[in-house]
Amino acid sequence: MVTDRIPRTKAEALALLSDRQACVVAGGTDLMVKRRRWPGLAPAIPGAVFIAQIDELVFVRKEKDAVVIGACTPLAKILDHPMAPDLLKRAIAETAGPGIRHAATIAGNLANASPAADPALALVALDAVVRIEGPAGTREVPAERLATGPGRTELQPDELVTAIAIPDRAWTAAVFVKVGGRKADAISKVSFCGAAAVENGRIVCLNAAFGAVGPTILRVRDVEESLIGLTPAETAGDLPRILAAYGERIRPIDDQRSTAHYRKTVAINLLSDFILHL
Amino acid sequence: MARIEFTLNRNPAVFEGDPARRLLDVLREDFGLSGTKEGCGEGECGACSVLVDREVVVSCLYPVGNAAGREIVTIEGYRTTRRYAVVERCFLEEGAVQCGFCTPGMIIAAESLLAKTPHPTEAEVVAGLAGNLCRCTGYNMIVRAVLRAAKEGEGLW
Amino acid sequence: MGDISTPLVRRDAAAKASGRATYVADLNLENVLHAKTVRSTIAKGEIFSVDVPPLPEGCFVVDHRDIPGENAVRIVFKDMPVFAERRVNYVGEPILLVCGPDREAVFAAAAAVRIAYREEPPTFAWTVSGNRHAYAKGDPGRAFDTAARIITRTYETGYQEQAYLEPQGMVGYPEADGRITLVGSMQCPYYVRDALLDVLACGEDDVRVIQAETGGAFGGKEEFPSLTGAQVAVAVRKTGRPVSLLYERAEDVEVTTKRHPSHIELSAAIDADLRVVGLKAKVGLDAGAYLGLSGVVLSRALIAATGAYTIPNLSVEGDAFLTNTVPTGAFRGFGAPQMFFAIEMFMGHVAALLGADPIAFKRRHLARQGDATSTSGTFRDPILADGMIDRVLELSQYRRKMKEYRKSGAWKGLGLSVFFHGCGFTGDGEATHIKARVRLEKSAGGVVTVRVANVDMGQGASTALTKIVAATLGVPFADVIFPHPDTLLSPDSGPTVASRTTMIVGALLARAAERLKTTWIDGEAQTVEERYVQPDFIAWDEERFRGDAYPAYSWGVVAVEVEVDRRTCQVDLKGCWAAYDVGKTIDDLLAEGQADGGITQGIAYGYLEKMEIVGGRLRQKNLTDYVIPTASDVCPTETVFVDNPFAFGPFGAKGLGELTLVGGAPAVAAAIENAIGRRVAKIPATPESILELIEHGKD
Repeated sequence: MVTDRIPRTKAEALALLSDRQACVVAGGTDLMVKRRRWPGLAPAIPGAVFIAQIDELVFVRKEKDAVVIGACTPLAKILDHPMAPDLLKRAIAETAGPGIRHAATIAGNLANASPAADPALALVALDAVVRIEGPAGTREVPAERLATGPGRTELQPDELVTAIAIPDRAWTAAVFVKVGGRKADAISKVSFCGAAAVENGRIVCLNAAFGAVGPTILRVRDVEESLIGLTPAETAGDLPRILAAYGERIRPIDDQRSTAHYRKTVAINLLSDFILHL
Repeated sequence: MARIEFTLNRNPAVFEGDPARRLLDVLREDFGLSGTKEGCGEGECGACSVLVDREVVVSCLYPVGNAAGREIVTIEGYRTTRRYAVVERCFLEEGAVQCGFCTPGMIIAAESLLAKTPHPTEAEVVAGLAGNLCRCTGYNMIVRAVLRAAKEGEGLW
Repeated sequence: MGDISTPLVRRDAAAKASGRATYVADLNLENVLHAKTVRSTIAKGEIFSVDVPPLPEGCFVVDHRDIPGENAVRIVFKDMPVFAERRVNYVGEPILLVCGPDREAVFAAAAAVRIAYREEPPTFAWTVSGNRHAYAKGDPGRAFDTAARIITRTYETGYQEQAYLEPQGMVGYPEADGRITLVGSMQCPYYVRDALLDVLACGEDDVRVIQAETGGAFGGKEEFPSLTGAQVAVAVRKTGRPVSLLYERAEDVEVTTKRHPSHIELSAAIDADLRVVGLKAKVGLDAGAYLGLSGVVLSRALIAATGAYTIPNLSVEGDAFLTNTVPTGAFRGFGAPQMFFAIEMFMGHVAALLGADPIAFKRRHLARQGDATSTSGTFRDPILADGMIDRVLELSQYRRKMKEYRKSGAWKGLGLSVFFHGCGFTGDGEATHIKARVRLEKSAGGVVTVRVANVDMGQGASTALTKIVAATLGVPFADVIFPHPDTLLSPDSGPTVASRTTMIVGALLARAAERLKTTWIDGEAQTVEERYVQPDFIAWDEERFRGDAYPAYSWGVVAVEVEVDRRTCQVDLKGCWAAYDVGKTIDDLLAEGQADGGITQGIAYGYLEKMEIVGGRLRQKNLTDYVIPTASDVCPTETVFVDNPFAFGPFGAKGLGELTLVGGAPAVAAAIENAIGRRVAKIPATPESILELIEHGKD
């Protein structure tokens, strides 16, 4: 029985997903490892639909007020693209190694829903919006809300991420810090992505996202909003309150890569550093 | 089951079978190309590196289903090129080969880097090889070999 | 013929680079049965039942019942079973193989095997001593009784995984005449061969072991292939078919031998002149579930108790403890890295407590030619360590930088270590156990074949030994060939371990080449053999642990510079400078490669590579979680080799392979100490542990 599950168009892909039994494979760089069985044997991915060949999902383009990236755009392509936001590029540069970046896709990274994912961290910090298509039509979800837990998203089995839109914003301070087990080719133990816009001496926007400190990438909106309108100096003066508020929300775990105490301490250090250099 | 057509070492190739099979296994077993190695099976070590459309990809986690229409080059295809001759000479003379298990992958990664950045800085070479682990050399001699290849291969990349 | 150190291109490099070199996984055996190991999932207990699902045609289970001889793998000690029989002693212990022509079927069958255990409480604490050694020198009791001051400290080191790029692999096949031939990734074909004799209850002619191109080993393929070799041989014998046992990485990391974790307590008796006149050392190593060669690792560690220093009064004791964890084994350095970490850090800590400059303090105590060794032997040859310290201090700009960094308050620092490695087997091991033999076979056409059991596992042995022969004969390098060791064709020149290959086997080959040269007849095929003869000045009493532990010592001095990130406690390596005395380098490029690779492993042992076992289970089980350096993690390294020819080494050469790893960890640990202003007594000094030191550690 020959069933071609390698669609060439978005429409073909959606048709294959309509039975809700499919497993979407983009670059495969996470899935092919998660589902591996034994060298020589294909990984166990029942219902696999391979979408990496869908050209219409590979692009980086400018829309009004946003940069939009096709779901199946490889990370390396985004890294090279002049239009891609700088903070996203910095995150991608720290992700895995070149051999993975040429295959891994931006949507795959998000949909894999690892709290330690680096491009996803930047997307969350940049207020990216995920565009999804399904039988009911199209919808949008903030990148921050796509993951519902480690390895889980709110995507329906018959839905496909088609693009990620990153709103334009002129940041005056932008920081991406990945703390991995080594300097390259590593999974984040704890990571921080901060972006702030200070206009006329006052904060008009401040986003602070943390990776690998909880079940999903963390932002604490109420604290961010409480800083709008303050000057950097006032924010620095308010540091103890800010750090305490984040301290309550940052709840990492001990695992084979690091300890809860280290993750939390470093996360707070990185946030503090960011706040003090706005 | 799927039928996937691609170019392998500059020749047309056809694969018929499970598209979820690892490109690494397809190359080694179906096409008898054992120069690409399995070091870890999880994309960490780079010993399985091949070129897909001139860019380095770790084949142990690349499903052959994604290879349709692509140009795949393994070390067997690369070693007949003039570029390889320069790279090999530099690797050999700089002492960059010890046990050799990482070497084909390193060379593929080096080609991918030089194809894009013909005159890399040392930092760029390091970044280009960062996905290839070596346990024998401590890397410095490999980095020197690649920098030297870039210089001596002037005009080839 | 120029100086032997002048580099040439190693002859196996082109085949390796081009992908033509054939490693064991590249062999394509017809009719092969793929084998998968079914392993214990508990740390300790009795096997209550083994339920194998109905097997498809051509599939076999191979277990202890198929062993005709002894169910024991000869690894110095014979306590490790080939297949667990009634009891298991660690998570991952092999119980049986499922073999079959179709991998899907093998995988499914292996997954369907149901094993029921009667679990027992495992031992993880270091309470059961499997092997004990102790020795003394001088009058330690008096030294401590009369000491002006006594300082005691403890040090800990963790597991280290060899992480050779090529996972373990062994294949075997039956020959037409009934012999069983094994081909595998290994360091010691004769270790494997000898293990088979016991397991198969057969004669030497009934088995043949051939080394395949080996993608790195570092000790991890010293004894482990004897286990896989025995398993494959039993499977071949049972099935009458070729059998292939190739480990996947996660399996390799989880179940193969690793470096022994250590706990070392050191006590110094210090006299009124601020001199260490007495040392007490208590060493504990975790041998895991089976002793294997852990007693030998313990020996080497204990012999290194005084490090690079002469301390006249000693009381040294140690145990290799048995725990229900993965058996530990050989890894480059073999007990020395653990001990040198402890003694180097200790001398630095003692110096600090006495208000002395650590380097000056170490220099005062440095062993000198003619001094008694720790085991009351003699350092017969010149020791150049003092000059090497000067050299490394100069290259690294140690003093200037330390002053600058102390003033600036930046978290930057340097550390320096002084160390040696005893070359070759301890004491009379060469004469009593190995009895090495080498052979040179010259064809009528004048091509000389080197026949030894020693393998090239990346370190360049095939090139170094060939160079020695060619240079001695006065023939072109291309006229001397070095086939892969094969027990059918190569005499037993001993294992590729203990930094003995160049010094001992190379010397034998040089002697054989001399003899061939003087008896050379053009146009005639000739064969020359040489046997090892122990130099008569080496006297070792194994009972009392006394005398010359090694025929020669190679020495090293290393400085490492680090910067520690204040926000994350991550360590950035800024530079590494090393001076080594290996007598004479047989090839400068090979030597530099070994130096670079060794120091990278040694430094990473000190700050990066973390492996923990919790409840008998490894937490870091693959190359994603067990972190080894990438090209981004290493630093510029400058290495100098100083000449100090050893009379009994070929062209003056001593051992090199392990030396360059030994000094890395204490140097980087000392650098981190100086950067953060806290004492480091435990490695790896990961960012997590550095954070803990910043928060709770001592100055």
